[in-house]
Amino acid sequence: MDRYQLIFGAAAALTLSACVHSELDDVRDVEIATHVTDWRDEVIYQLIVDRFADGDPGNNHRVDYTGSLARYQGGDWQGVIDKLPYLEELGVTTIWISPIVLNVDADAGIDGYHGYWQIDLERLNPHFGDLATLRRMINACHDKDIKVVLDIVTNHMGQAFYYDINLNGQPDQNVSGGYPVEHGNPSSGVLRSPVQHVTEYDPDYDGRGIQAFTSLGEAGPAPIRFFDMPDIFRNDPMPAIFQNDWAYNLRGRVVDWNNREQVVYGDFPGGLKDIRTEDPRVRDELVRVFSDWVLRLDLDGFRIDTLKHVEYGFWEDFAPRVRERVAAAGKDNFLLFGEAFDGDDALVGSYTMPGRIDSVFYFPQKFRVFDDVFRREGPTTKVEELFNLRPTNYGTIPQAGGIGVPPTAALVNFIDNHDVSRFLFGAPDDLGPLHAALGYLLTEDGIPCIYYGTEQAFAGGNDPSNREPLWWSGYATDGETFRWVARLTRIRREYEALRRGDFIIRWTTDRVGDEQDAGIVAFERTMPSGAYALIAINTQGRHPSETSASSLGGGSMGVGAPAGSTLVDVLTGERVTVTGAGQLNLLVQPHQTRILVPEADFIDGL
Amino acid sequence: MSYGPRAVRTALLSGLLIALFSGAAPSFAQTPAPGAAEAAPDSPGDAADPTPSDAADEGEPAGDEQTSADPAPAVADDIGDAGDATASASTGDIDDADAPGAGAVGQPASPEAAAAAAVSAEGEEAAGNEGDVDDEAPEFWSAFAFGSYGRVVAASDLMGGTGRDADIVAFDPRIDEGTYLELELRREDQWAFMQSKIVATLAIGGPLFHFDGDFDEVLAIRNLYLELIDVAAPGVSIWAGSRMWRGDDMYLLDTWPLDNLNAVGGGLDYTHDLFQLRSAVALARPNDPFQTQIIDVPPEDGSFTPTDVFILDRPRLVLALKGTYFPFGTGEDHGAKLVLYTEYHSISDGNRQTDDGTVEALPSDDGYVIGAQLGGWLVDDHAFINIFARYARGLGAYDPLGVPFSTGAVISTAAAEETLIALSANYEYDFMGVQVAAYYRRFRDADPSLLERNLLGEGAIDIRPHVWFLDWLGLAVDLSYQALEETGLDVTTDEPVGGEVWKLGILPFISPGGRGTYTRPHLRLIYSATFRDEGARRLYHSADPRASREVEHFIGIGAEWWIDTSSYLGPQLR
Repeated sequence: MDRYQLIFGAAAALTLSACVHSELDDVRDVEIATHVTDWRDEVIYQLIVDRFADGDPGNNHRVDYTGSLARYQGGDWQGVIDKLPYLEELGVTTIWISPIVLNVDADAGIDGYHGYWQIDLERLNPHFGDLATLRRMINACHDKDIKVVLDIVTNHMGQAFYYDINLNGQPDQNVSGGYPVEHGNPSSGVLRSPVQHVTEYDPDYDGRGIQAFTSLGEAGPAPIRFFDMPDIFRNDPMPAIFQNDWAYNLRGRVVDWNNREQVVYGDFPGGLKDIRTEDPRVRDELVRVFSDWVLRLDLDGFRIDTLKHVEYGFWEDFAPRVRERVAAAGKDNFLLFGEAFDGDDALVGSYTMPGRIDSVFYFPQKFRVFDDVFRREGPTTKVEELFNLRPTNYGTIPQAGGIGVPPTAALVNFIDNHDVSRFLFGAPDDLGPLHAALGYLLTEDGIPCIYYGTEQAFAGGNDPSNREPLWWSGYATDGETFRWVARLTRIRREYEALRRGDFIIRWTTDRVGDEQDAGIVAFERTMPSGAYALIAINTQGRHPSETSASSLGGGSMGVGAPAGSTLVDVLTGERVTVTGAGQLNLLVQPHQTRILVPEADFIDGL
Repeated sequence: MSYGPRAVRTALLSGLLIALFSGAAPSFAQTPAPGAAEAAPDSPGDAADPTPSDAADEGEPAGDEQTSADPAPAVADDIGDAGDATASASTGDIDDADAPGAGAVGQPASPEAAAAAAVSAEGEEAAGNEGDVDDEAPEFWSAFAFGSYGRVVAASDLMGGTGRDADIVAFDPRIDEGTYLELELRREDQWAFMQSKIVATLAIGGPLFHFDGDFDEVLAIRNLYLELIDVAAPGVSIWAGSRMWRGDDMYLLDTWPLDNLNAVGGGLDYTHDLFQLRSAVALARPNDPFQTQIIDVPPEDGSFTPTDVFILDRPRLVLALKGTYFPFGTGEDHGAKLVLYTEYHSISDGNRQTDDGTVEALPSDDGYVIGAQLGGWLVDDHAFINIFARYARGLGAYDPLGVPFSTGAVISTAAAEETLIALSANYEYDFMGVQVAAYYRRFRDADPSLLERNLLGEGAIDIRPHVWFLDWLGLAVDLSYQALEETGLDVTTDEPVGGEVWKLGILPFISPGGRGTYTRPHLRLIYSATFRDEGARRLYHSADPRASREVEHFIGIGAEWWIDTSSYLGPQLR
């Protein structure tokens, strides 16, 4: 072999070898950047990865093909890549993806497809793909100016262990043990047998910690025993700190949701073991591991699960440290918003107080506005009542190092999500209320969040029926609801006032019958720059209503637009003129949304 | 972007191969050395010899002049080990798609060895029912022969466990493999106008009953065919049935890099002094959802017997054509050959029923293989070298018994491709010998949604020097390196998925057949130490003990033999 042959061979070989790794060039190095200017500009689309699109059949391990929605269905990150054009057409600018980390694969016949049964916070769930695919997905999103928010859980781990209540070294479904939870001690005088039958997987709350129990009574704290079931990833919780019993609160399942102690220190139902977030060592690990994901993936925000099950002190520690760490890497405006599944506005808002997180999932609005007003045609004064509570219940100044917008103006609004039945559940063909609700969602202040499948008029009931595979829809883009959402997002994108304007309510009513203004909610979005929009929605579907109560002895709606000015409905092209008295009487058809802008700002064809 | 030492080493490995391919082979061809003929890979040997193949040598101890060839023993690796995870399309999921070696006692098993044996057997006493076979062979004769390839291993990992295969690539060094056996029964007859041969080969995969206590071995029929020889004209043969249809192998890496068909069909061959043409047509329909779906339906006529209905039934049709040119003829003590090879694969369209009850249409599919081999041998030096290059596209990138990896939704293999370059060589001198094998392979899976993923590159090089202390006692040292790289990122390191394995083995052996790197049987002690880097350990599931072992031991005792099997008895029979 002469030297030329050797050189040729080596060169060709390097080419062959390099071309394998060269296909990773786009995902080897992560460039951290700030992709969001103002989170109010965003339209979030919440998707469950397992249900959105199946782009890689190669990772369809243990996938159920019979439509059993409690099982893995096959969606993955490659599917998200494949369907980005669909999201673009819908007008989505941010996706919130379900948790990515390794989960207990199955428990009691239910799969961990949703991602909330985490077992290893440092590894990825292989059902969804690998690191390269995940990075490729995020890069593809950013290339299309779509941001990515990751769902994370700090409250609990999956069912990594059981309480060995009867000290027999095996998990038992039905053993004697426990005491009436409201007293937690037999000496309390409660006239009940101290012996209850409980499950070692998920025993009821005991403030002292779950107690061992023999035929002679209690036997001290029940030891925990970690499972060793690698076939379903039910072993070795990671980081390794979570292999210590002191990393957990060990008090058993929450049974009294009004008991703050239980809510904070109890296991989440389903045997999800409550992490001792009070421990600084645990906090350090949670900050590290979740910040690492931001830096390794160029994520744009966290949606944080089960906020109210973690003490405030944790958020006051976790949030600023995460912000600081990602900011040091070049990521500003990193969004932290969380889920406190509760209708208590003060409780939900409390997590946005100074030093905590940027925003919350606006559950009170879901219950009081979208359910009571839009779904049940209740009085629209509920909109105003809730809005008036905001300055009291929510943080009014931006979080230090946060997104630069006060929580009061950056609440994440939603109609429904993966934990509640879909808006159309029970009335799948009645699109009017949904379209009216979407009209409000995409024109009110805050950050709109659309649950995947809403655009396809999915109508599933409670979990898991509300987690339908999106491919059941065929990803149709010509449906009435899809087109309505796409149009609203286009309009929102074009009119800054709809995104960033102040929210001023101009008309609400407690009338819900045949009255002139029944069902009307009208509000303005105004900016100091003069950008302006007026929105009027008829939340009821029985008759046209007006922004006037003249028939009841009242007047017409007063507006902030100059007297005599002309406004144009961007949805219909209709022009209306503000009266000399600065009033406007708008006729709004059943479930109609009207969006009016100054004539000079009107853009035709949206 | 920088690439780590593994990539560099892999590149160097493939570089060596390419360099050899680009340079060494022609050089070899240009400087043919005179000498003996026994080490001729794919040499036609006694192609025209009507002798009932190597039955003539059964029971004859072989001298070292009969040993330098590249036999082709088979392997039945553990299903599910790391090697399987990276198994090539060529091997599919069926490990025992590998093949056995052959040869009478003391006789080489591979084509090369067979050819060598045939040459050396000339003039020797032929065995078989009919006694002597020579130029005055009787017009009619019959023979019944038994042949076998086998290896049996009992090994420990020195940690209280069973010694296990510790490889990460598809074609891994043959040192720590498990038990595998082939038993061949053969009936041969000389008729008035031609010869006939009926071959039946039963394969048995381990573990054996005496190891696991399961009175239930894993069985397969590997050969079951009739071959007619000298049909209408000398050198023309035709066969039909189920057959391992193969060319030259790489013994050390346990694979057949160019042609390796396992299918049911038939073929027509013609052998001449200077060339050989082989053709085959075969069908394969693995029982997988890519090709087969059978459902039970209730009878429509009111009877109680359920009826099996083939919803999907689309066997793969493979057409293969192989031409070999021997520039120095086939009867010399030195020689060379150039092989050109091609396959065409085709599968019809079809429909399959999905789990949700809908019907999914599967389009027709096809693909091809093209390849070449350059080889040469020097009998006196007991030397040969074979250099292979193979490219496969579409369906051709998958073994006929394999299927596209992602059969759940992959319905077209159009995007799949495989490139393979390989080298196999042997040299012996007096009381020493050395075997070498190496390959580099690049494979891209077919999944249409993953055109930029599921690409892997892998390779291995294995060197096994031998020394004989006595004619029947020797020692072999096996040093190998293997590497794998994929287009996936490891979640814990952010580095590409892949790894490296170094392996050092020591094999003292007793060879009753005498010297020769390919002389069998062997009774041997085996010790192998496998050194994994971090990437290689991560290729195993975290629950697998191998995921945490930097060093893996394999120590045991074993035996390997090939005796008079027909798969490699001479080019006219292959």
